[in-house]
Amino acid sequence: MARRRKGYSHYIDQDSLNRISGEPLLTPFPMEGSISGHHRSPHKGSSVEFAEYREYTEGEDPKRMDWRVFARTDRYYLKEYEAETNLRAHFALDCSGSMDFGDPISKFEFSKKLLSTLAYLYVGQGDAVGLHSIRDRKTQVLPAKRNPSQIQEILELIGPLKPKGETRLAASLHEIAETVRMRATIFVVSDMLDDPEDILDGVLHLRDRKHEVVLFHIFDPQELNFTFDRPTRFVDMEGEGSLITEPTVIRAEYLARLNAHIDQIKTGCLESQSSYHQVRTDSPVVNVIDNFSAGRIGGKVA
Amino acid sequence: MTFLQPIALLGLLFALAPFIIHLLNLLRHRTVPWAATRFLFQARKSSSRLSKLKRWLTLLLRVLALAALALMIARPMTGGDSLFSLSNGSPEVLVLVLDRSASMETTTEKDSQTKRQKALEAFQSFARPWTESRLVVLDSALEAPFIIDRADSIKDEALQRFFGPTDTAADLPGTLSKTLEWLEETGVGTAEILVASDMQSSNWELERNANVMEKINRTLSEKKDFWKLSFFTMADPPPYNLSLSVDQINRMPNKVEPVLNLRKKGQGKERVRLSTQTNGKSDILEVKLESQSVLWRPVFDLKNEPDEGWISITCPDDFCQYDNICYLTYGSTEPPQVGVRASNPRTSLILRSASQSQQGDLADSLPLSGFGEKDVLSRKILVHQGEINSDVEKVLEEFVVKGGRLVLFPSETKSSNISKLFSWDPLEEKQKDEFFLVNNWREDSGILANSSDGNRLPLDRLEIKRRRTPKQGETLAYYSDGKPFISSLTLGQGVIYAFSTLPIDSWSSMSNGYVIVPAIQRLIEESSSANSFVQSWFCGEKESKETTLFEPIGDTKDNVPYLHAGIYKINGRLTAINRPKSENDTLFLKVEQILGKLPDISSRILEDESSSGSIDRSEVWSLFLTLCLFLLLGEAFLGQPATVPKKKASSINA
Repeated sequence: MARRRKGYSHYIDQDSLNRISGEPLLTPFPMEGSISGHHRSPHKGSSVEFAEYREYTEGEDPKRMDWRVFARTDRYYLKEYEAETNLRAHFALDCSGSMDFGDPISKFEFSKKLLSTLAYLYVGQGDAVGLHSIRDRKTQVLPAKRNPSQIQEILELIGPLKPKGETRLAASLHEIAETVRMRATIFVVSDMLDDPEDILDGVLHLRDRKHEVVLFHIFDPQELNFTFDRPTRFVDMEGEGSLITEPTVIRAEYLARLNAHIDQIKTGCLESQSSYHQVRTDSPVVNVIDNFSAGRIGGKVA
Repeated sequence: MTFLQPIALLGLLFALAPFIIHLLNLLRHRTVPWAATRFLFQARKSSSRLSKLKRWLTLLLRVLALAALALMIARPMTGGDSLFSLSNGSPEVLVLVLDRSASMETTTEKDSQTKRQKALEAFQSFARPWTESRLVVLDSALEAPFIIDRADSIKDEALQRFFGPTDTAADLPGTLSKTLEWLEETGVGTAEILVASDMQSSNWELERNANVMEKINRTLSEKKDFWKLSFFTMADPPPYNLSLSVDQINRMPNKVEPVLNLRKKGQGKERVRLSTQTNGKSDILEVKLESQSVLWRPVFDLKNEPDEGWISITCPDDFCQYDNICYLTYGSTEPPQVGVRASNPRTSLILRSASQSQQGDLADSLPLSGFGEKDVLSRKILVHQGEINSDVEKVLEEFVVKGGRLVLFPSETKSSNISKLFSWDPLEEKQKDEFFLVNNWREDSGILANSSDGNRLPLDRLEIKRRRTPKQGETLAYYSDGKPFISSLTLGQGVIYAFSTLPIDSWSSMSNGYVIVPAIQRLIEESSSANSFVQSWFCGEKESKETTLFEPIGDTKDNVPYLHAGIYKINGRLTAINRPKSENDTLFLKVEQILGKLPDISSRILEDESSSGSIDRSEVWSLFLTLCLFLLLGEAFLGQPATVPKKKASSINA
């Protein structure tokens, strides 16, 4: 067991831990947690953060009455504070065959690193994390827990995973929306090679359930540059067939199509108040997390 | 279109290289597992038509650019036989067969250039496009190949002098035939032959040269694609011309009376002033020209002149300078000795009378028996009638070979022994009041020629009862049944004249002397000049070509007897060299008549002057270079990637 733990711990990016530790990763949306935490709650509570004054109505607890205000105004006011709670972070990992693409590191391996590091950070600040590994036939779910051993569970689960089969991302997002009942942050780590409208439908569904949605769109640099110089036979990694073509001839059209796809997802995310992050596998995980956290300082999306 | 470097057309095969490379590229594609194939499928679907069109257009432009490059290197030229004619692209040798006869010195009203000069210029422009080819000139006078290093050097003074005017005649079929032989001997692969001539009929003599023309036709048709024949013709006759030639020289004591033939081309009567030179002393003579052709017999007084000398007569300048002058020499008046040997006494007397000298002395009678070399030793003319036995035959043969003139009459017997020297057919006789008639003979020259005043000898009035027609020799006069009346046979340096009948009443009416006297007297006259230390040749003929020791008389130091007319001292003898009479021929052929004799070959015809444009070829490689550049520009334009909007492009890299 000890050997295995050692075997998957490299997925946790030490640079990121060094950089981010101490600064909580906050969410702009109120969360409903079972215990006290760093995140805003929809309920009023007993934290140190002043929220508002409210007129006293009969039956309420007189302990929270502000006597100083009564002395000045002769009226009864209650002083309310923000409640702070913990959040549930659910990671949806795309395990389709297309995620296997990439050199020197595949999109899937990069996703594992990103996911593990984020999970570690969240657990570290007392939040619960869960995992949905989306495979071609079914989605394996690890329920959200805030137990530190949850990290180990996640690593154990994703460590041996191999990407294969077709993308089933959109359907899986709907499943997650249906199964995750309490407000949560849903991290989607995928190359999004599915119909963008279907993906955005899933995102909207999640938003309807009051979840915060964060999309990590993973790219290998070669996919963005498409720098091939001689006739090439492209074999689809999800078994959709192959085509022989002169890359230079179709490069422009390919990039235009890819661009349109990215734009469509990005716009959809903006409209549904979801976060979108385009991630290249040649950029360090720390930078990705840094970018992600920088946009969330103070619990608001920058 | 023709090509100077047709070998470079093999480069057209390389034009297929882009296409082959494209196919090879497709074959050697690599396989890549790819995640985002959905975009590739979409991209190919939407841009397949346009991109396919672009790709094939690019390939086509590359192929065409390389083809244009190959064509450019092959150095294309405008103006060939066909669109793509490889064989006449860059011939190894360009040959000019130049008619250098005297008639090529004719000029026209338009310019002062002679036809010979025009021919050389035409060859220069003909050769200009083919800078790689060897240039060779074969002229009709020298009939030897002369190699020129470059076309421009034709204008050099030395070459202009080398191919300068001559007073020779030409045998162009012979020269052309020699050209083909030379090409064959030197193993020339491809050749362009340009024949430049004024098409004077006497220079071609198509009937006489039928065999030569047939040989030329055969040779050229065998080399059809390799040796090409072109004609540069200049058949314009001069608008006005006066020509002068010597027909005959009559030497009298203290004077000479040449018979001059003056021919005029042009209308109207006129008086012509001719300048003369007698042994270098100038004088002027006047003659009235009343018709197109005049036989004029001026008298040159030689009282104060040496016994042997020369005279030149010159017409005023006209469009043909070459035929304005004639030269003659005169010798001493000592008459030649004539001997007559006849078996029939009556015949002997008549023949001796016909052969009498100007002083009225009968010719010597030679003995019938004991006839030997001593009897012919100092003689130039022998008249013989009767059987020729072997001893006599030997003496007579030796006499003729050494340059004597022998006049033979047949034996009276019905048939005679067949002699090696000369023989006749058996005797033929006509019934009473029936005669053999003569109807055709050579009236222009020879012993039966018309008299100087144009009268014919009365051969057609002869009544011949008996005859024995000669078996040998060239016929000078014909009977109405086509058999020879008189024939001549050249043997060594001398000539044999053979009559077919006897000048006695039982045989013919020839005893009246109207035919026999002028014939024999002309022989004596001709012999008298041959006997002296003067002689007369024609320019370019065999004797003139074989002469090595000569000295021009007068101020023409550079003249040579085989090219230029004039007075020369050759081997100590005063010699007048005139242009051949055939050069006075005013009949010109059409090039079609010559081509008619060359039915199996296709020739190009370049006309006079205006034709220089048609042989003007120019290289058009620059056109192909421009085309190649444009095609490459087009290819580069098509190779530009499609414009991606900047917004989208930047968002990808965000």
